[in-house]
Amino acid sequence: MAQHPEGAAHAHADEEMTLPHGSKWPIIAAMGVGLIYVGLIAGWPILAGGLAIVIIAMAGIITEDARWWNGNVGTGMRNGWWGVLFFLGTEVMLFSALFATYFNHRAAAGAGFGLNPEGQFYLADAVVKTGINTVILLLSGVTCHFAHTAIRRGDQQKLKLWLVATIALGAVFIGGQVVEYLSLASEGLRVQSGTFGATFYMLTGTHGAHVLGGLGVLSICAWRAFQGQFDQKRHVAVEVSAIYWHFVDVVWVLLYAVVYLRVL
Amino acid sequence: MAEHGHGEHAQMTGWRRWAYSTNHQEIGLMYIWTAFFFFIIGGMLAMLMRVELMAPGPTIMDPQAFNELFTMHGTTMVFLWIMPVFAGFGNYFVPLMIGAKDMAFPRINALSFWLIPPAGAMLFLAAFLPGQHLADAGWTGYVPLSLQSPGLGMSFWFLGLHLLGVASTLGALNFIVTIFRMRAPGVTFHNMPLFVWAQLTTAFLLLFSLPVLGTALVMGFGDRTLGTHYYDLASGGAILWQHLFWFFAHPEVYVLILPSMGIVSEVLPKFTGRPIFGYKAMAYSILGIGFLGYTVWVHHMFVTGIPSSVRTVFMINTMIIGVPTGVKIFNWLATIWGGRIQLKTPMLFALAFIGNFLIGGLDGIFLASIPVDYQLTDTYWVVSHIHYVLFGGAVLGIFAGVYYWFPRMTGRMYNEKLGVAHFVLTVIFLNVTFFIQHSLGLAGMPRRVADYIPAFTQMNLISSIGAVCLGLTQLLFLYNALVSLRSGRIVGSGDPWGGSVRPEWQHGIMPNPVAHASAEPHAEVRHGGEL
Repeated sequence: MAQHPEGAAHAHADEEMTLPHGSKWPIIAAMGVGLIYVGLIAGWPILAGGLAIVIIAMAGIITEDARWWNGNVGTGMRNGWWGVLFFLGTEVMLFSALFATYFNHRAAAGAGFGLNPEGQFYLADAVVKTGINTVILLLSGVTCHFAHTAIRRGDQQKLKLWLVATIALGAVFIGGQVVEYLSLASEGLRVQSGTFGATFYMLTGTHGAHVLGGLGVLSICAWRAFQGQFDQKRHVAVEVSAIYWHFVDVVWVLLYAVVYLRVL
Repeated sequence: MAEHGHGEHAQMTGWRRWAYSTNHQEIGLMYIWTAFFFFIIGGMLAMLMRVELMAPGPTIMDPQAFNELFTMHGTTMVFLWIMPVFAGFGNYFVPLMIGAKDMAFPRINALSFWLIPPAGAMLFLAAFLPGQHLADAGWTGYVPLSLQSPGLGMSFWFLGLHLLGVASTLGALNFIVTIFRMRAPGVTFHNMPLFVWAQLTTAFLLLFSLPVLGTALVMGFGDRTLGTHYYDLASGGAILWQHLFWFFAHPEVYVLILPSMGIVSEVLPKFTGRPIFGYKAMAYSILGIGFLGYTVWVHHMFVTGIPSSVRTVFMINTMIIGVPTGVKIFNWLATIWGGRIQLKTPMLFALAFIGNFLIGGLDGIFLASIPVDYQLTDTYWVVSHIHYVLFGGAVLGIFAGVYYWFPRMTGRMYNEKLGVAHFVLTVIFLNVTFFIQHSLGLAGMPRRVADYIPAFTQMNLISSIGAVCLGLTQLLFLYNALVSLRSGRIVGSGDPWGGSVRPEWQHGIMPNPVAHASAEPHAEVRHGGEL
C-alpha cells in the first residue's frame, strides 16, 4: 500500500524484531516528569515547565513512532498487547487500594458516612443523573467493541465511525462528571470534607483520569485510522485500546454500585 | 532497516551514546553506576549514624539530624541502591540469557532508568534548601509522624518515592513481557537460567504491590498539602497506612533478595563444576517465596492490636516461607557437595551469602512468632535481622554478581587479591557490626533513637567500629573496580571462568567491550514489533 512503504519493506524482514534507534525522548520525558513532581511542591512555574517538556517529549515520541509503528504494526509478537494486559494488573491493584481505603472509612464512620449537614446522602440527587451517565459510558463500551470487530473484518470505514462515536460518548461522560463535581462542590462537598469527600473524589477522580487517558489513546487510534494505518491483521493498537476502555467501564460499574448505590 | 536498526545508534558517540541509548546493555550499566553512587551516599549516612551511637548522649549531631539520617539511609539503600542495581543486572543479562535482542520495550526501558536520577535528587533536595530538612519519619513513613513533620523534606519524600515507584513499575512490566515473549526458540521456562526466574518473580512482586504504595503515597501527600483526611486518625488512618505500606513493603523485601538468590544460583554451579542441584525445585521455590511474600504483611503490625485470629494466620504464613527458603539453602549445599570448588572472589561471596543470609533468615523466624515479636519489635534485633538479610544476603549476592560478571561487562579482569581482601574484611566487619545488635535488641535497646542508657555503651561501640570499618572496606572494592576498568587484564573473547559456557557469555549485540568478542547476534531471533 502506498501509505506504508516501510511496511512493505518489512514483509521481507518479518522474522526479525525491529529495534527502535536510540532516542532522545526518554531522557527528556524523564526530566520533564521530574520537574512536574518537584513543581507539585515548589510551585506552578516549575510544574508548567515540566508539563511543557513532557508534552514536547510525548509529541516527539508519537511523531517518531507514527513512522515507526506504521512500518512495524502487526509484524510480530504483539508485545504491546501483553504489556497492556500486565499494565491492567497494576490498575487493578491501584483501584483495589482505593476501594480498600473507601471501605475502611465507610466502616469507621458508620451510618453517618457521606451525609451532608442536613443528614441527607450527598449523592442522592446524583444517583439518577450519574446512572444515565453510566449508561452512556456502557454504550461507549459497545461502540468500542463495534470498532474492534469492524477492523477485524477489515472494514476501515466502520472502524473510523465507531471510534469517533466512542470518543464522543466518553467525552459526554467526562462532561457529566464535571457537571456533577460542580454541583457537589456548590453543596459543600470538597476533597477536604472528611473521609467521604476525600475518598469520593479520589475514586471518581482517578477513574475520570483513566477515562481521559483512554480518550487520549482512542484519539491516537482514530488519527491513525484516518491515516489508513490499520487493516484486518494489523490493529494491535485498536485491540489494546479497546481492552483498556472495557476495563475502565467495568471499574466504573463497580464504583457506581459501591459508592452511589451502596449495594456492597 | 538502517534507519531503525542499531547501525545508526552504534555511531552515536560521547555522552549522546549513553543519554540517548535504548540498548539494554548500556542502560544496564547506567543502572549499576547510578546504584553504586547511591550505595556510597547511603553508606556514608550509616557511618555517620554509627559514629553518633559510639557513646551515649549527643556526640556529633542533634536527634533531628539522626532522624533524617536513618530515614534517608533506609530509603536510599532500598530504593536507590539495591533495586536499581538489580534492575541493572536484569537489564544487562536477562535478554542475553534468554537469547533476546533487547528488552521488549527499549524506550520504556530508557525512561524507567532516567526517572531514577531526578527522583533520587528529589529525595535529597531539601538538604540543599535553606531552612529545610530531609525526611525524618523513617523509611516506613508511619502516619501521623510523616504527616506532621514540618517542611518540604517529607513532601519531597512522598513524591520522590512515588516517582521511583512509577519507574520500577515500568521496569517490571518490561521484564515480564521480555521473559514471556522474547525467549529464543529452545529457551523454555524449564531451562532458562535461575537468575531469569528470580527477575521474573521480582517483576511480578513489584507489579502488583507498587500501585498500592503509590496510592498510599498520593493520599499521604494530599493529607500534607491539600488538607484531605485519608489518614484521619479517628477513622483508623494510622493502621490504614500501615496496611497499605506493608502490603507493598513486604513483597518488596523479597524484591531485594530474590535476584541475589538468582545470582548465587548462577555462581555456585560455575565454581563447583556441577549443575545446580534440583533446578525445578529451585525455580518453583522462587515462585513460592514470591507468592507467599504477598500473604504475610501483617507480621509487621503484630503490636497494633489486630485480632489474634488474624495475627495467627499471618504468623503461620510467615513461618511457611522458611520452607521454600530452606529448599534453596539445601539445594545450594547439594550443588557444592562433591564439586571441584574454585575459591575465586565471586564464589567466596556466594558462599558467604548462604551463611549470612541463613542467620538473617533464622532470626527472622524468631520475629515471626507473635509473643517473641511483642518483646523484640522496634528493637535492635529488627535492625540486625534486616541487615543480615539485606547486607548479608542481598549485598553479598550483588558483590558475587559484580565480580562474576565484571569481565563480561568491562572486558577486563579485576584484581583477584584485592577482591579476596575485600571479601574477607567485608564478612568480618559485617558480623562485627550486626551480630552484636541481636544482643542489644534482646537487652531492649530501641531502634531509631539517637541516645541510649550507658549500660549499652560497650556493645554499641563494637558495632560502630565494625560499621566504620565495613564502610572503609568498600573503598577497596571501589579502587579495585576503577583501576581494573582502566588497566585490568584484558580477557579473551569468551567466558574467562572455564567450565560449561553460560548463555550470557555467548551472545550480545554490544560485544565484550574491550576484547571485541564475537558480535554475532543470536542466530534465531524471534520476530517482533512494539505496538
